[in-house]
Amino acid sequence: MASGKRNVWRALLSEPLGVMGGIIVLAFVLMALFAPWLAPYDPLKIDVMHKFSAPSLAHWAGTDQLGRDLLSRIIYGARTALGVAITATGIAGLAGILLGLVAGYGPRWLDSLLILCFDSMTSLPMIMFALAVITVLGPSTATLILVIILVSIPGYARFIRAQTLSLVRSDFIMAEQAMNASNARIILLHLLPNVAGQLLVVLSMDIPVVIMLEAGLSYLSLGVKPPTPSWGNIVYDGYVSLRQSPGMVIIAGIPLILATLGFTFLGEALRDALDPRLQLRTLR
Amino acid sequence: MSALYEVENVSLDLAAPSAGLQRLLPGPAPRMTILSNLSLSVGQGEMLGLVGESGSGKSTLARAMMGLVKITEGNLRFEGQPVRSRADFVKVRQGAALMFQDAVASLSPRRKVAAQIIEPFQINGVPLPDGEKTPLAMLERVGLPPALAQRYPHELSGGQARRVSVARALALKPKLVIADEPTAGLDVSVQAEILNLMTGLRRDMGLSFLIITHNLAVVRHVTDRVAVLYLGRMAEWGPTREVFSRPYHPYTRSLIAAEPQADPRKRRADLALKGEIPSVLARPTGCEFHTRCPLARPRCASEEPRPQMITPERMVRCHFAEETRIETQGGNHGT
Amino acid sequence: MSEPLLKVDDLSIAYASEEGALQALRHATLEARAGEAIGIVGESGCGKSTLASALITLLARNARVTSGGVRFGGKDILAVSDEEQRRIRGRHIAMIFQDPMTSFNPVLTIGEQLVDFQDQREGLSKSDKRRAAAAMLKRVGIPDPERCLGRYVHELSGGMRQRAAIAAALLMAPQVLVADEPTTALDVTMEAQIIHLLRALRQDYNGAIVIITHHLGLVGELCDRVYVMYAGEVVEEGSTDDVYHSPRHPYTQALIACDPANIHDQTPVLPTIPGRLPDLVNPPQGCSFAARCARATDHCRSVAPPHVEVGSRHFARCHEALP
Repeated sequence: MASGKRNVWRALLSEPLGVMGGIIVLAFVLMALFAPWLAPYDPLKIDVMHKFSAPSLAHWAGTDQLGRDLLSRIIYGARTALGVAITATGIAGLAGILLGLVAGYGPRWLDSLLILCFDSMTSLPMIMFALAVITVLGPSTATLILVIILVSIPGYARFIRAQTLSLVRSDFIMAEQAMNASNARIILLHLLPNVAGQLLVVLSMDIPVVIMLEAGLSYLSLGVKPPTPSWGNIVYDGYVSLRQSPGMVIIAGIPLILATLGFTFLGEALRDALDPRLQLRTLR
Repeated sequence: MSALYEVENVSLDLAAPSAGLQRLLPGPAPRMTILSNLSLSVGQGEMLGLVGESGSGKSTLARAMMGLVKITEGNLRFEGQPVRSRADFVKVRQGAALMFQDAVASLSPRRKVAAQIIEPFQINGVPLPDGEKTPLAMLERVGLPPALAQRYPHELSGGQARRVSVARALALKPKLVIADEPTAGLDVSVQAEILNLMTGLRRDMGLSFLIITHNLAVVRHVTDRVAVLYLGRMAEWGPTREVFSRPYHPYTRSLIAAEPQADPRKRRADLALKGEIPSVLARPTGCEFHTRCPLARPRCASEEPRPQMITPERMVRCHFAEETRIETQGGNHGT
Repeated sequence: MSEPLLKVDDLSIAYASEEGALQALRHATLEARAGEAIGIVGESGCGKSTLASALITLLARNARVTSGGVRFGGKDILAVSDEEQRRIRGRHIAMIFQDPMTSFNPVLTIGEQLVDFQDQREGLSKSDKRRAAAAMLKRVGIPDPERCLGRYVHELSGGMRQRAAIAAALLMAPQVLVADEPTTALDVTMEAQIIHLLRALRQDYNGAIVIITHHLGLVGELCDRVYVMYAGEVVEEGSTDDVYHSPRHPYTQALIACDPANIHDQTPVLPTIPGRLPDLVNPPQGCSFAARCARATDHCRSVAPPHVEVGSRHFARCHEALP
């Protein structure tokens, strides 16, 4: 009989869309990691002589209003996009797991207090909150990450709390208590592995949302500061130059769309693969 | 036989899951009584059966004995020491183990059998008796092949999961094992295997068992004494053989009569027990069994019966126990 | 003797698995006549669940019929179109499941569903259907049928749920009622009540009842004929009385012997059936019970046993049962 982990892999690989999502995600990750070797030009090198040039053999994706190579900017942009998205969702996910487990397993008063905090966070309009934080700290990549972390935590924590609550009264947790297991042991060894998988799915489906958020805030000049290439900045540049070079916006949008599709497909396949009921179906 | 675990006048109330608005009304919140003035003791090396329908509070009592739910009133004593504080329960949990009704669900779903089976040692800071080979030795003791150590709980059959939970329960060499429906959902031949395993352990290790079940056949075979619970109260207790051959409480008699007979020649035309166990939210007045009792009289609805000791070993809580006693002794209710 | 209403004829079903075709059901033959209650008993892995899913034409996706079929109303219901299977299911062959929760939709009231179940009944107004539903609930012993119609399944107790599920199954007056472990999830007292109810319903129900269970007591209480299954085969069949009082197949004998309900005295060691089920991907050449049978000979292990008539309509698949 195969072990649980191998089954997840097999279920994942049996899903064609999931495989496709995985390939896209992997491609972007490689692109981000090896940007200096993959990018044909320096993304910041200005060459006004060749501004707004159409896609050609020299510039596969054309150039922007300052004559910078678009493909190189997109490749370097993947660094920003994935860097921001993975850092932010990663930290937010970790904090969410911790707070969610504490709220779900801890004493009632602590749960109520945390829920109050989460609710007041989520009741603020996200953009207003982002504007407030950025006004205080000034726009930068770090601020951007901080904003995304702060607005994401309540959702993840609530998700983990709900999962935890559904497990707290289950027999195996009571069995642990009946063996004198400490709270830390129950949380780390028995609750965490049962809730983390589901959160991983949520996180991977959220990464494209964060990429779009980064792009959106950068587009509003509230995120990554130019001239650092970011997919949001590239779209902004394209939008400003819509008249001179209408193709730029479209080219700049392609990585956004691909990344969204890739992470979503991967997340959905992951969700199906981790669902024990669906797993049973494939095993039968 | 000296007492190992004593339960004395234990009651357990919970806040009723009433409609939210009701909580805003003045006055005390409605409460429901799950266990009421319950006394019971498990002797050293004894197998005690606890029977009753679902809703009788059997599993709640087991959980209360392990400190998983708090009792409202009464005393618990383990090996003669009162059990009240958290620290007391830590000791109880080292000397007593609980086996859950759903053996698969009582195992952590994402950990392998090998890792779970040695948890009692790790948690309680006891060195592994056989080092790295401990999980395999434990599996062997309950008759399971070593290959099972690398499986996840959902990959086990019902009987295998039950054996794994027996193995885990025995890890710290407890004095008492509380087994909640140890044979529920198992095939007939596997049921017999699990019961044999338990009686064997009792013989070899001098273990005490509290077996909670609604399966009377199980109780009849393996237990020395049996206690019958109805709606959180003790209806009757006594030596198993005597209770089965001469049940005094009408509820006990109905339970025994309700057991399906695996013999087409012994089919009954009548129905032993009509209706359902009442909800703890609408506990009947007087004797709680009077709503279903074939012998109920007006007195039963108004007056609570007191526990009567028929002999030092037999208790019954029924106004008319004397009458049923004469009747059963004259009749042919023996098996 | 009347023609059988339902006939399982040499039915074999295999599941595709990683190790190969798992032969869950092998050449099973059984029949149910009008007015008769038959019991199918066996332990996990004996093929009774596969048989149950075949009777209501709801085979798992990876199941394949490798021989025979299920004859009902002059057709092989496993071979007809999905559309026709849907029509037969519920209307002519209804099922009661172990967990009555699964028979009902949790977000609709019992009444709404019992009315819905009658959608194949034409020319009946909604209020007529509701009245029919209430009458059926009354018949299965639900004390306040009108109130029950307005409730959701989770608001009913276990016993009441199973009664409601029986009402739902009987609503269309099916010719065959299949009950898969109908009392396994219940207490002794509720079980006795459901047995009592099913027995009472038999008085005015002239279809066939098929009880599928691992519980010998249930079959003993309810059935006229019993089929004992082991490792995908019917190993013994006969009247309940014959099979329970003079079992001829060693497996049946062992099964009856180790049922705690059959042993009235306290014994230090209960009888068990040592050994395991054979591998159903490569079923044994000879008798499938040979590996666990105390009386097995080399002949048993190498040659498949014949279907021996050991009494009047009493058969056993065993070399040793030869008269």
